[in-house]
Amino acid sequence: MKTSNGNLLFIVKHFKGLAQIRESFDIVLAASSLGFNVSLLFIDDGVFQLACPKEGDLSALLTALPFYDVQKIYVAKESLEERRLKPQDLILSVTCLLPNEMTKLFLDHNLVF
Amino acid sequence: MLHIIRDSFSESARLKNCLAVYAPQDVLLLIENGVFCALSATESGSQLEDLANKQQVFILTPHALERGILDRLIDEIQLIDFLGFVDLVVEQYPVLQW
Repeated sequence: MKTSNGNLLFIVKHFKGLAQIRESFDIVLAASSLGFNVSLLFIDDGVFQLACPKEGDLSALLTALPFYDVQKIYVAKESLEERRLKPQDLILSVTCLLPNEMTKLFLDHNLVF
Repeated sequence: MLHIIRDSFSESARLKNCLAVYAPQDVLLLIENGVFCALSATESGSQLEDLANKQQVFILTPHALERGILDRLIDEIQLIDFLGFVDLVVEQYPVLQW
């Protein structure tokens, strides 16, 4: 049975290799299975993570996120634009946020990592 | 001399600091997250474009491939593999890793 313990937001700020991102996602998945509402926000170089090649282990790990009950995946619009990326370049469907929308997002979550 | 950059433009000011002390015969190599510096139409990309028109700028292909940006790099950059990396280190000694 699932209980709601609160809203957690994990922020991915850097591009990480497979081993590192797997460790981070272990925490995300553990939190999700403990009943937290988990969302992810990709900012700065973290957005490169979502633009990785479609074939390969990294993309397999990322595309599995929706199956682990991760509520929502957000991306900072400015970070994408700075890196000349468009939402359609990404391997997951995401919600793009402006800075003021991110402020609101932080307030909506009990804990932000 | 070989300068090696391993951070992206937003992770650190290392590319900027490196270019500030760059000598005309020096060679630059981008590895790990440093490969993001060579994205076309970005600020760091156009800086490297200018540099690559005069001097040699290399990028480690497997690391660019892994990060999905191989088709979005500045045209002037030269692609090398791990064996090319070893050759560069031997030819361009000393090596400065930023």
